[in-house]
Amino acid sequence: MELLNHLTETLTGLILHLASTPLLPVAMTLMAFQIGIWIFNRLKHPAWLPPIVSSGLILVVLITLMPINYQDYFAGARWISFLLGPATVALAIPLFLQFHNIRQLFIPITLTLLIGAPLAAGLSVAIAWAMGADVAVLLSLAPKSVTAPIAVSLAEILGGIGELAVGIVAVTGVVGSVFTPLISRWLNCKDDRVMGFVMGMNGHGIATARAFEISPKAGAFSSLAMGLTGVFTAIMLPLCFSLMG
Amino acid sequence: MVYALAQIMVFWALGESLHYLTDIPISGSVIGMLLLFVFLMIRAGVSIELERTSQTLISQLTLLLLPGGVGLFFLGERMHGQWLPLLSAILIGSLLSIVISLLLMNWLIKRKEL
Repeated sequence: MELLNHLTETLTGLILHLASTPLLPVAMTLMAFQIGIWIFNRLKHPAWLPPIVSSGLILVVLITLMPINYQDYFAGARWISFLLGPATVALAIPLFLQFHNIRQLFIPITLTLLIGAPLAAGLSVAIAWAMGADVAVLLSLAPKSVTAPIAVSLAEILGGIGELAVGIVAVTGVVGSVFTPLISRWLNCKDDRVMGFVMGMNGHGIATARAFEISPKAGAFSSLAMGLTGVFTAIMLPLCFSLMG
Repeated sequence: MVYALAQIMVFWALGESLHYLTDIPISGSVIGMLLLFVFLMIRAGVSIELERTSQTLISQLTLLLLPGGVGLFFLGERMHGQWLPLLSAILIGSLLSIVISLLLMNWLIKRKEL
């Protein structure tokens, strides 16, 4: 009995020591991510279980089991999150590379973006509001269709909850990538450009990865839509909010 | 790799400075992205190194988002009674907006290509 107590005490001390530097949080995150990728490949790329969901759940279990709380974990794992900054800036490059597709279909793309992007945000916020969600939740929901690094900074600027925004964006991405191809077939819409664009507009990066599996054209239009929706929402949403006071 | 990363960081720092100095309600990294996009449009090209580095960063977005995303499960009391409205809003709102956007864009393209 005494030996067991001694062992748990040593183990707790060891974990606390490793968690006091970024070492343990960073190593945990990398491992969980790798396991998530492995599960994703093993199950042959299921649209309903992207790596962010599976590796996220693994991390939740690890943090809960260990004698540390989320704040301790994040203090170290911030080193990884820091790279979201350059990753956001880097989104300019695929947008630039896909930009020529706009010239080809300027009016359909612009109008769909101008109507569809506010719709994607507005409909959900309206439903959540009608069902009695808190203001902080509504503000985290507004950037739901935007690629996650932009959504996090948007949620924080608007006064929402960054962590919640990441989760909402992930769920939206899954919904967008699972349902857009189904609904396209149901509406008898056979144009891969349209399906790809709507996937990127409603399901950002998660749906874009899926769109590339459907066809290169769907992927290109999805990634264009993701970039345009991100830029458009990042500019318009804060402006709308500051005008409304 | 390092040169491209340095370029990206410079644009981020420029964006962050603009955000700080002008109180524009757009985050520094998004302004940095817009500045880099304008820069690429003016130069009308992107170096292979910059393209590769951006691909590397973007392909690892999931990993970069994990530490923040996990926080979702540790929000506790703040989310009391919020899950149902939230999940219904995501599901119903997304489905409606997918249907409307598909019909709209399909119609616009058909009209143009007739």
